[in-house]
Amino acid sequence: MVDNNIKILVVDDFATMRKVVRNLLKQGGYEDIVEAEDGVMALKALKSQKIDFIVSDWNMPNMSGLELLKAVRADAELAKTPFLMVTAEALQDNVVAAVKAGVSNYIVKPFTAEVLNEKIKKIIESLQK
Amino acid sequence: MNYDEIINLLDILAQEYLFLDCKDIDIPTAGKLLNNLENISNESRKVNIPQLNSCAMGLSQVLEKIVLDSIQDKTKAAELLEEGIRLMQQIADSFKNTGSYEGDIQEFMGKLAAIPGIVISEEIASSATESPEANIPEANVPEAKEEIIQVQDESLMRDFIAEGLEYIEEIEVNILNLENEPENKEYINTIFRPFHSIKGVASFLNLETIRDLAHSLENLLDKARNDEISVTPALIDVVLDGADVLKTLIGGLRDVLEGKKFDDGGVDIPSLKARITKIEQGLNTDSAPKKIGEILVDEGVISKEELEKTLEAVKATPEKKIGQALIEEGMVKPKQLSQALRKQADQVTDMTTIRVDTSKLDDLIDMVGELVITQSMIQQDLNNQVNADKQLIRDISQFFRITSTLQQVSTTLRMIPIKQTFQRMSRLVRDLAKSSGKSVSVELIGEDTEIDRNMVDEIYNPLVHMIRNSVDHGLETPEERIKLGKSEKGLIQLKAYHRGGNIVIEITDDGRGLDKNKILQKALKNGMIQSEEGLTDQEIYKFIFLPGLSTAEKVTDVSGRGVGMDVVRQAIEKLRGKIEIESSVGVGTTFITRFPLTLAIIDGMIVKVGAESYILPTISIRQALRPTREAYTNIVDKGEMIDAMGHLMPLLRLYKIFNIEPKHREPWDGIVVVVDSESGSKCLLIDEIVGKAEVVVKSLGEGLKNIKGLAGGAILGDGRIGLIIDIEGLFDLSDGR
Repeated sequence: MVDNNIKILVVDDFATMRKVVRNLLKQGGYEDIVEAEDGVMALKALKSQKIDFIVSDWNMPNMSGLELLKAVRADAELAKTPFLMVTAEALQDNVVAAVKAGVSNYIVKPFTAEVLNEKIKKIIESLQK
Repeated sequence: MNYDEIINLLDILAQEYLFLDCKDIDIPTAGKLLNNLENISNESRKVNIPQLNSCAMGLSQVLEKIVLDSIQDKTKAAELLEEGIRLMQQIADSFKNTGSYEGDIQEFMGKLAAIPGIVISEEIASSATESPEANIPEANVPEAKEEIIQVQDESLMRDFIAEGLEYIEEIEVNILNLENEPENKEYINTIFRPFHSIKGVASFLNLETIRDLAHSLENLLDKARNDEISVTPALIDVVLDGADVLKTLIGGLRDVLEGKKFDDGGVDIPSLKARITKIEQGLNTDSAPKKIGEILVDEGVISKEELEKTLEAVKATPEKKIGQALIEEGMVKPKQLSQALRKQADQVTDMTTIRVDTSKLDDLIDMVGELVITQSMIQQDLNNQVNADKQLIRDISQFFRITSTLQQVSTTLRMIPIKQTFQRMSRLVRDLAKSSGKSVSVELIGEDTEIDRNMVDEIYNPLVHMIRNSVDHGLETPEERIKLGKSEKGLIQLKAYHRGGNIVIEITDDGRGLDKNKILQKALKNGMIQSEEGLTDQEIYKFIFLPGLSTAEKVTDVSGRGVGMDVVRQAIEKLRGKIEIESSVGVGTTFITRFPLTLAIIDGMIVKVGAESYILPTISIRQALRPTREAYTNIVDKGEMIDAMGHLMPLLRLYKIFNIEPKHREPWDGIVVVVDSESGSKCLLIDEIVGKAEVVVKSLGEGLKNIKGLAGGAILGDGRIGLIIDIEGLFDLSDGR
């Protein structure tokens, strides 16, 4: 049984997109959601509060999703945080770069609540193994 | 050779692989495997085992396909991975034991190549960075579209409209920047991103037209970003038009929300899309660069017949590009195509300019400076010889002409138009106007005026500060302006021109002007002056540059100016620049700043103290005089003073500061030069003035970098060295700071 009581950080520069993801997450029963508008803000949030899961967009100003991922993985305290990358299309180079950088999984826009929550569930389950 | 590292890497790879289930792949594990394969590939190139490198790269391609879920037969893929790992271990063992591998990897590579989308070629063996993907028909990305949810969330839609329109505005601003600097990838990025975001949300909201259009524009920009096509005016036009259409479409959604019928404003999306496609294929009819096929024929990669045949075949499937078709036919290798594409991009870019590292230019200019000095030394030597050869003199004077032209040309190399800076400013004015609720138009004059590349960055901040002041405090609010009978829209004018070896930049506003009386009152109150008599307008205006008058918030209300103007003055003076103000109440204010065209050359006065030569920056010199004995006073607590022009000014004896033996010890025997700095004026005692000269500033070297009072050195016309005096530093030194 996956615990829905986790705090999820949604990172996207487009506010509407954050809302979309938030709505979809709610359908999966996740209520505790924090938002950040780019990688820099996300890192700030990660440093200041305990976050259990990151859902981040790929393409953002200041600090892209990939850079955020690398920064998270390089930080001893945050390194283990599950990271789901949202991309607009499954461009091989992008996905491979994210995979090499240690992403937990990726998801291609547009996606449904089922697909999103299924991916999150699987990532968390694999960690509990 | 030491193969242990490779064997170790392979062991880890095999271990990790045990945990991988290709049918339900665990992404983090796949990531580790991919990194491992990359290491193996790098390592095998280091120890020169090409077979191992080929295998590793082939395997990572297979693994990438699995990650992307674009492989049908996963069982087969898993078998291949396993076989590949075993094969690599064999190769490595064989190398470790015998130093070579006799087996054949071709069979295995053939199996890999049989998987659709995997490209095995010599390039793979030789270079890891070459990505063949760009030229391959897109992998079969799993269709996630089947069950798009109907987000009929009204508030979401409203958010999207508001944010989407904001993003389009951002695009419009940035595309103008891109037009000025088509090479700047960062600008493409700033335009790309909003389209990308709009597309993303539109796809969730089921807004297909918007999504498709944003998508094609995004693709177009992506191509530009990857240098597949170049940024042409046609591209800029189509992106702007596309942004307009998106604006109409997104704006139209509002009507839909209100239950009205959607009005697309008569936009012609198909023709817009056709234009996008055309540009995407590099078919810019304006400048007609060579088509990719033609380039390939020119290069001798394919024959004309082959090209025509493929072109015929491509006509049937218009979405397919010629390059793709040629690769599929096996006529062209991906690498050849990408080279041709690059060549195509090169044609369009402006070949009249090249980019050169500025440090190279600096070196060149430095050397030319040396050349000029050397040649003048030769000339002097020659003049001293009584029996100089006539022919030699002629040759030398020819040489002299060439060197001086060379010097002129080389100094212009670093010059760039001030246009870019101005455009950034006009953008700033727009932003400022928006945030302060004023309506402002910007006028740019003399954008083509040239300035040293190194100066551009330096002058940016002071200019920004002054413009901020002009918009914030100089211009009235629209209501006030109407009341005063002025046009509602304020005007900020930026003007640049050359005058007397300087670049002059004027910032003019048509606002309220400086209020002399209020500045005077403030100055009196702060004790900066005792009475307001005998002060010229210029002198009064200059008070706003003094720290005491500018930092206080109240001053802003009083004078309408003053936020941090002392900082502006400091920055300008650091660049050896000067600032003046012209203002009249109710009509407006002009800041006139003068900067040297370059920091590499200094306009200086050569002076002598004892046997040493020093250079004083001309810009800080006010006058030179020989004081009378009576003009000299020694005041307790204040030290030695000279009465020059009716003002008492402290006397600095240069020979004392630099500890050298002078010719003249007393001011009335030598010469006194009055120099200004931001902290005031002082008199420098020197022996004699030798003359004026433009000298090339040279640093004193790493070890002597931060010597107080000296800004550098220069080689003088006679080949001797002179030290350039940093007035501000010298004052600090004399004040014991």
